[in-house]
Amino acid sequence: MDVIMQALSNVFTPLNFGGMVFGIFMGIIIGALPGLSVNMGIALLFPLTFSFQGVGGILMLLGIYCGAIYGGSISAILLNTPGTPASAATTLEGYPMAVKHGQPGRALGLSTYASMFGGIFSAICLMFLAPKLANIAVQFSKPEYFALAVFGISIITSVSGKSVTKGLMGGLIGLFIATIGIDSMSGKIRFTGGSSYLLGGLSFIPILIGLFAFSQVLLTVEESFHEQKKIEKVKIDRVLPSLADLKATFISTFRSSIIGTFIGCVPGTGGDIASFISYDQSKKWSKHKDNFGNGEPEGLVAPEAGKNAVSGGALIPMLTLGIPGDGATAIMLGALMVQGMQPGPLLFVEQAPQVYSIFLGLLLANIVMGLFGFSLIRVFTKVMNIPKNILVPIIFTLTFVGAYAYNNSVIDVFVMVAFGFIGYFINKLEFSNSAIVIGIILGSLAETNFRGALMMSEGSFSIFVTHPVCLVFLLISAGSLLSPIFGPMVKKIFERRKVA
Amino acid sequence: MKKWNYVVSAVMTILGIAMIVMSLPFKFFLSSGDPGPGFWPTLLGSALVVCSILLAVMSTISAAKEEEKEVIFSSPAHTRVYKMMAVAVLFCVAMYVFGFYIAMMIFMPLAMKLMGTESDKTITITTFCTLVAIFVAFQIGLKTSLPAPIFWR
Repeated sequence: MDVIMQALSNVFTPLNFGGMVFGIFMGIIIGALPGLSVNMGIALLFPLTFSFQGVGGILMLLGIYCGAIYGGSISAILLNTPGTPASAATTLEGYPMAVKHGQPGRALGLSTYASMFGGIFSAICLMFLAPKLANIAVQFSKPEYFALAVFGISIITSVSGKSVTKGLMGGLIGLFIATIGIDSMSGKIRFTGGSSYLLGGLSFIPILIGLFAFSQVLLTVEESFHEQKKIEKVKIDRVLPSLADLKATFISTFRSSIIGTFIGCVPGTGGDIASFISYDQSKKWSKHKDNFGNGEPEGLVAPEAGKNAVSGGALIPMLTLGIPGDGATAIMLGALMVQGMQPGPLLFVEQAPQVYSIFLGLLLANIVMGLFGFSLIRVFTKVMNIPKNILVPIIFTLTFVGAYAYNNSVIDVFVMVAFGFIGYFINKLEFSNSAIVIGIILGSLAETNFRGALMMSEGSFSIFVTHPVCLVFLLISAGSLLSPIFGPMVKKIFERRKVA
Repeated sequence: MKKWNYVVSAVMTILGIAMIVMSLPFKFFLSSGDPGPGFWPTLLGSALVVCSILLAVMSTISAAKEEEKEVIFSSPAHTRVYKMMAVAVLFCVAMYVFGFYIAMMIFMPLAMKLMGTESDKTITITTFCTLVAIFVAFQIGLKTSLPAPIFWR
């Protein structure tokens, strides 16, 4: 009870609560602007979190995370252009309802309700499931931690997009970057080239801003070259959903919230997968299958609830095992580490009030997000009309300020720009920026526990096989890493047999 | 994409070998038999070389599929990106020499012009508002002192 009271007092500090509300507001705006992603939003506003004491910065990031996931739907519904990839499924029913049936207010209202429901549902699941999982994980030793790190790294196959091999290469580079600086086990200085700047390793924040924000803005500069901007004027009527709509869509919303939370728990998945699966399931179970594609309310709420429910689900493996579920949670994991919190089962023992503050923060963030959605939707729809020629230079400037503000170091700004350039080119060559970041974050955990486990076993690799939990995680990781190579082969064999 | 995959493969192989070579001065195993500081980086370098070779082999096997994917680095849109990159580098240098605020007053108008903004009024107002917002948020609010000119340090 003391822990919960402490968590409540943490969350309701004016500065912490204000920061979270600001994060939600900014998150919705970032999500609503096509071309700006959740990851970019978190990376861009990350430096602001250093001004908060304790868990305040994390609450702000949670706000941005929830807000940006929801905000992506605004442009998906009104412009048929998803603000984030996770909102792509929303266009299928949201746009026809808003434009064909002339009910943008109803579409936005249902989207807000479902997003809030999904988010709150997953936050409650997080509160109940995470401590139980942490209780099991607290018995883990070095081999298990190494296996967990490998398991986390194996999600690279899911985030690496078109080429798994390139994803792995990115992950390896990230892991190598994590080795720069003083080796925590032997005290040796590695790969610094005599530079005192690199003694503590390459700063994570400038790399993050470079890869996720600077490179993305460069992509926007390219993509907006032929873009013809047209000002959208949308008249929004009633936003609060009617009782009839709530009744008709409740089952679909509830089902999708369960699907979203479950998918969020599986590392390597994300909002885009959850929203499409939720939409598909909603269609399968619906009595109005024929109306799908024509502005069906059940089809609209399903992806909304599904993608927002991912937020709580993804925090379960992140907080209890220290494994990021996707790019956004990878950044959050880094944020926790920067704030001196090491995600994993011990976090629940050593910093319980902070963990419960995160739980409460997520719950509150979803409620405030819903309230913002219902009350300020007209403001957010206006944001979509900000021209790129004004937005891009402003974001560029913020990336410079953000990179500098972390350490008050101009070298950090150079590092950020360098990684921004690298990020832009490797994106074009089908590499994944998330893979590099995951490598950097999990690098130290993987190396320290790998070497520590070998010390425990006096150099015998059998330690990774004789520990059952470790073996299971390593087998799952191997399956996950090899599935993109062997999966298509197995599929071909089955197809040939079918034909035969 | 096939051609680029070979380029990536070659670059990554060199990088992998470089990682192994750079790890040589560090002990692979300690005298106690435990893995030393060179063990993990060598492992990573070797894995990178293996992945690079795998990429080259896969690109050769699925050559037709890879050739279908087009990677363009030389269109007018890309030229604009490269100009923006040059402006960003210029901004970094200007920030070091002239400090953040003066550099920003050069960068913002240049970037906006590059993005196609024609109205000088829009450029001036946007630059001024961004400058004030950053000053209030970072300098006053967060007490972050942004880089001062080199002659004032």
